[in-house]
Amino acid sequence: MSCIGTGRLGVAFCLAALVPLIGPAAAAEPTVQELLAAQDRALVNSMVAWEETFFTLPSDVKLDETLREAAVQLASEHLARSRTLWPEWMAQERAASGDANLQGGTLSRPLFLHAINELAIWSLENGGPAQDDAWLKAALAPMACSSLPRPYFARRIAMIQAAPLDARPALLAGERDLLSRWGTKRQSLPTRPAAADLEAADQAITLLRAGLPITAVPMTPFLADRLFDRKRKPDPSDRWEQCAKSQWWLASQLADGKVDRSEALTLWRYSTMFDVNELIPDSVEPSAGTSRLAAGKPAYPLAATYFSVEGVTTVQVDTDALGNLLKARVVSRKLTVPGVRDNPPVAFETLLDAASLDLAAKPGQLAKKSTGFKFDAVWRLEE
Amino acid sequence: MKIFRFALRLSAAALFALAAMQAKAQQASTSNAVQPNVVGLVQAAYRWGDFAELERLYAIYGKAGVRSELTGFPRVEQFWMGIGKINNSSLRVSDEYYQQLDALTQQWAREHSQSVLAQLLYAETLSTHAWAHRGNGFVNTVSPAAWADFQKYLQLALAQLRRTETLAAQDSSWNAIMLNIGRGLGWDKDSLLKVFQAGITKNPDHDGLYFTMQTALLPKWGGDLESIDRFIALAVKTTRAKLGLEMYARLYAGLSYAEVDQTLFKTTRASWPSMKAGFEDRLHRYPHTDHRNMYAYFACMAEDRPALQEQLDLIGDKFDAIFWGSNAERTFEACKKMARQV
Repeated sequence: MSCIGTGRLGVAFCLAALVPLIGPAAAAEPTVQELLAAQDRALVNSMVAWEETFFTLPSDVKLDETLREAAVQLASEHLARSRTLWPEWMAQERAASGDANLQGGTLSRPLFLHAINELAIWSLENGGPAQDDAWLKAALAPMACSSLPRPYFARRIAMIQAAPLDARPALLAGERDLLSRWGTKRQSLPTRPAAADLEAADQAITLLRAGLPITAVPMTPFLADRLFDRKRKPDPSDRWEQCAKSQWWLASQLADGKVDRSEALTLWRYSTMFDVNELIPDSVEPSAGTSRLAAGKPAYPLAATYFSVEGVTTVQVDTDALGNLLKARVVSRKLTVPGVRDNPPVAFETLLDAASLDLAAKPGQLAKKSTGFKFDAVWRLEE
Repeated sequence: MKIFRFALRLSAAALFALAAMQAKAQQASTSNAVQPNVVGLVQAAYRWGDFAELERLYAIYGKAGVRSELTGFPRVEQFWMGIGKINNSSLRVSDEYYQQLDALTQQWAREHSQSVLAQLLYAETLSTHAWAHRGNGFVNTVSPAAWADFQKYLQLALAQLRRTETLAAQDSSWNAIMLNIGRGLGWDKDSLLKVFQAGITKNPDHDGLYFTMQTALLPKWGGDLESIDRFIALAVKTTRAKLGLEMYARLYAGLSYAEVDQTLFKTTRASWPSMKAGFEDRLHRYPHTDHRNMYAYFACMAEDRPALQEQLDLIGDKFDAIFWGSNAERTFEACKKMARQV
């Protein structure tokens, strides 16, 4: 395992890989078992230190004192619990690999990916009707998207700050509940909405740009400025824009009354979920999620490479009478990510989508195919 | 319609700059006292669509007679400055941006039918949309289609103000918005003066009404300098007991910034001794470096070296280009050189 990148995750991988080199000195002539135990402790410490970066509350995030205290307490409880979870996950990795002495990056990498997936699950999970009601209030609060600090926990707490006061107790209780589920097998994660639903807001914006009418509530000036600035292109990595757009679409769906509230909330959760691309170092990011055709073979998406995502995506293609591509969409995914076993790899499940869709446009792919045909794109990382 | 034949450059940008220089002192506090950043608070609330917060802020800062303790700037104007950061007709956005603002503020006006602010904000937004169609160019740069849209949105804004007059016209901001609409629609001077007079009667501290009215009287809006001289004389008569000659100084300064630049003392009846007394009156109440920058700029223009030197000393390193005309840095250097020649 070599150090990759300079971003947060890259640094974490490197730290973990370096553990054997910076282990305890041999002055007391420790046994091999003691050395391994010390290495494990060091690895847990580096894991916890890495996880803390997601659970910090920067001082410049404006929070009521009581909310800040409650949030600090919440983070502290979670990190204490995590300290006991990491050794369990290490044991699981060793058991899964059949190597009781698994160490270094081979061990730390799946652990990190496991934790990243837990972060994503946290952003998607449904905590019950009371929490859903509270999150609907939070999501629709005018200032919900105004402060989105980098640490993910701080981002959620900032949204709680923006929520109506009467929703706060349920939101905080919900956070405590959801965080307590880390490391467990979830029985009922909300299913990923259909691509058409996830793309509906962008479709509506396209219609607006074309001067066509749509059924939607008015946008905030912030969102209107972001979307209709003549010199600016939509930026999927701009979390404020994504948040404001998701909020607008949620409000529009609820106002329309044709969509179930919990479905609308699930769509909002998926639209605002924790984005693993935030963890990709700048040196990798520009090409992440894209596929470059090289000698007729698509390049493996760098983001998927970075997170070791493999598997099969099934693409459905619509064609016209002449066999020309009309639309392609990913209809299912069977993916594997090291360290992610008990739950679907929700954090990583779209990282092969764009490249898979590119395959639909590959010359020859559509020859003599009727509309609605499906094909499997198989993605395997080469050693 | 003759106003539009002679209208040269739209005054929206000049108005904005003038208002900005009057309001910016809010951010540039030289005091240790914590001053609310009204412009920023309003801008943030509006930007994120927080009408409840806007209503709360307007209840505090929209009241007649509330001024910044630091600069003396009316809070109600700072409130509308914050709105103006969003309702800005000069943004590089497509028309959909203004359509969304129209829809949002219309929704607020409908949902809060008894809110003065909601009704005013919708009218102000429609007016902004109109000016966005009009653009900042000379009148002969406006296409017929843009002109038609300009008129259409001004008429919508006018209709909104008239529809809600019973409720909203108790607020002098109603008159401020109406003055801008009337100017755009080419109302005659007397009609505009009636709107102005009604507004200043409601809130004598709404300084911005004087400047909005003065803008409508500018030569580039079909007015003339004699009318402006008469208007300033009227303003001084109305405000002298409370403000001394402050409005004299500020209105002639405004005329310079908006139209005549460095020729103020050559092409108008502006009297430097009166302006000087006005700046002194203002500084006596609000000794802020912004006001000193403005004072120094005109002292230099009037070649009053002692006054210039005194203010330059007091300004120190707090030079602010916004008060020093179109070629600010060079003008400032030249003025400093002149002051040293005492």
